[in-house]
Amino acid sequence: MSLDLSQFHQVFFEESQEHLDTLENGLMSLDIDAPDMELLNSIFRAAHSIKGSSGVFGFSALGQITHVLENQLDDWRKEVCRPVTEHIDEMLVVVDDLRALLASYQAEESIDEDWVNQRIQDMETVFKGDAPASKAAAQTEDAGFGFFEDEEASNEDDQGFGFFEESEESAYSKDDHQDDGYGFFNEEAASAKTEPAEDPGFGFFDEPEPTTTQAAKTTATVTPASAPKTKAVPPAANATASNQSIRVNVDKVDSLINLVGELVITQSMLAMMGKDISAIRQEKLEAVVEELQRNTREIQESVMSIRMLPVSFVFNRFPRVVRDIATKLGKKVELVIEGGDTEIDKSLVEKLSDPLTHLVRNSIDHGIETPEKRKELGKSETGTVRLSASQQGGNIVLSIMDDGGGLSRDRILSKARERGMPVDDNMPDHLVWQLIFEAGFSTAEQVTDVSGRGVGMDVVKKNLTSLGGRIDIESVTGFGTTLKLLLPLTLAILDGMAVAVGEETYIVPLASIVESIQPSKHEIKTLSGDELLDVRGHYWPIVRLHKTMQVDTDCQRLDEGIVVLVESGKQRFGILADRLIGQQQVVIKSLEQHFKRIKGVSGATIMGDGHIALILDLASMAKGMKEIPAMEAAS
Amino acid sequence: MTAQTDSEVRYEYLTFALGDEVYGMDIMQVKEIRGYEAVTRIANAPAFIKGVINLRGEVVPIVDLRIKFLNIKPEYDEFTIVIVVQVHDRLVGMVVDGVSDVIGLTRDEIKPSPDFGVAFDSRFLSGLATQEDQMIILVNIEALISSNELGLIDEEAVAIKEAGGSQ
Repeated sequence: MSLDLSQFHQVFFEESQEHLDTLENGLMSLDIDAPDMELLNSIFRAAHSIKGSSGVFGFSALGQITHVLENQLDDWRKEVCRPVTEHIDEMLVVVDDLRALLASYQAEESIDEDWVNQRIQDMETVFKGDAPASKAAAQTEDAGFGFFEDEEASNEDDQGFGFFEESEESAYSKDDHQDDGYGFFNEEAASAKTEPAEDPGFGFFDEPEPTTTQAAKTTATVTPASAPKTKAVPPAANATASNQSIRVNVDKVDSLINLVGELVITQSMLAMMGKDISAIRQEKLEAVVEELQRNTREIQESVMSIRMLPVSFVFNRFPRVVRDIATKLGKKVELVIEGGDTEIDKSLVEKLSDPLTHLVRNSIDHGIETPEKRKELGKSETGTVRLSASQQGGNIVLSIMDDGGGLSRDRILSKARERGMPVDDNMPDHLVWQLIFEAGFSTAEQVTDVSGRGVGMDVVKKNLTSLGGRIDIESVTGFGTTLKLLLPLTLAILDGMAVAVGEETYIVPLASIVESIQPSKHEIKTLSGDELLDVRGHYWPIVRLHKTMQVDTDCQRLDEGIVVLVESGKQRFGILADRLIGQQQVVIKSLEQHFKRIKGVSGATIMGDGHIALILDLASMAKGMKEIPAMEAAS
Repeated sequence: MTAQTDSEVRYEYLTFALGDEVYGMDIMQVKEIRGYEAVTRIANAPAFIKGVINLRGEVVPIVDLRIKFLNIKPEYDEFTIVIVVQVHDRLVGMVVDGVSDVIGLTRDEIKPSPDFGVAFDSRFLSGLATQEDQMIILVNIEALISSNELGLIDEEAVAIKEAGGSQ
């Protein structure tokens, strides 16, 4: 009976993704002057794991390609040869190919065998070449990299060796060949094709020879004469902070979060009931309930934190993105990442990736000038893009800062006029900057395949708004632009003001509340039948919640209840409720899960007593209202 | 394993009363049976949608089938029964007059449903059965909930579904 492996496929795909990420990040942060053994080993292990498990599952194309990659990595690791930029570039391309392959396997598409074979050949050509000596020579000329010249001894390698012997598992260290670098290289590459089934460990060598003493001599690499400068070498991310973790289905976590939410509610019901018990018992009960409250709160906090992930999950792909874009545009860019350990909700992590990529791409394309221009301007040739994250109150602030040319006010304004937008020269800067988020707006002089088509900024803004965030721009001509993304810490929780109407409770999002007032009679004016509230010279139209929500209440008149003044988009209005209950954080529940969208309501939440309160959707409430011209009261 | 022909397989149905009629629904779609509790009212909803309740953290709509199909103004007390049904991922609570029994029916015992004569539209019926001289009308809960008859899902979603369907 054959074991059904398909149940493990999902795990394999997820793990392979992670390994590919490790590979990519490792390659990006590899310092080719002085490769870090630890790093090389972790890159190698990632490739090895992919190859190993793809063999198990019969994903042969994946295994074959990874095998070639792995061989090359193994050579680096064993210091048979040193990493060069060309090889790293090729490997990054291979990583992309592997991702594509993985996606194909996941989608159960058929694999183009010819392409796979072609790819393997290409890789081998790049990594080894049939005439390595000449290739090495060519490289020396091209880029000034003096690799593969085994006549010279490496001075740097010495310090590596002690480490090498210590850190390598014994199986490795005995594996070294006596051949010189070239022989080994060729032989190894040749064996790559003909060796589909290796032992699962580290058997990359046909005949492992126990010659540990030879190790020092075989690794005949050379320090490049001049330290090569890569175009966009970002600082290495956190090297190896190995956090222990287990893989858990998100549904399980969500159901845990829900259950804990319920526990909190049950707990508070218990607390309420405890108040009706006879005096002697009450004291004891209260103590116990208090204890319970502490415990449940702690459980809730720690369960909520399960959903949180460090922003570095998003940020870690950017060294690669920046490198690719900068290379393509012929610019020199250094990426600085800060605050990668700031935690955000998992669902945000997934949705942030695309907008951020777009903004970073824009910064490099439109912001950072070409090296020549930067030199002219007296700036350093290498531009800097700073990606940072921090928590400010209930918000996460992500900022993308570049030291490029800044936004051009004149160009944006003239472009806006061209497109027939209502603008004038006296508009304040922050309003001008917001124009770039209009659909189809691009001021790039040249449309490149990187950016300039004007598709995107509007989408970026829309995506952010849908996540409950907003985007601010600061820009100084000649000194650069800073884009600030403000996002709620989590999508699941909202700061709200609970208001009572009749027997029902509604939640007004706190962020939209301007103030709450108890109107007196003389503040209430009427304009063609509609009541307006005069608050210090401004007239506010009024929405009576009991009417829109069709709730019976005794509190019908404006001066009997309380008016919550809110601002949503450009609309400002007051909401009449019976009374305020208080400010609280509520867990947002979807109404659409089991029901449908309801006008004027964005969701629901469960209150402390177990009842459901509806969360008001101010934007849709505002839509139904007449536009009240901004008028100043006479007095 | 004992060979069972299709006609011997017994399907279990939960029977419930609505007015004078007895209905049955596939027991696999019943999540739980609970007492009626206070609901949170929803504005601009038809009278038979009572509102939403908190079912262990889920916001679940409550439909009173008595109002919908019997056209009466029912009373609510501690004996009022709500059957919570689950169709795919959706939960809906349905208020009925009472829950009677769980019965097993073989396919042969289920007769085609009539086109008229009961409160439910024939679209939502899956058959008729007789048990101890009592006629039991079998309801296709899935069809009922995913139609716009109860107004439980967005109308666009219904329109898309119907456009894509056989109609």
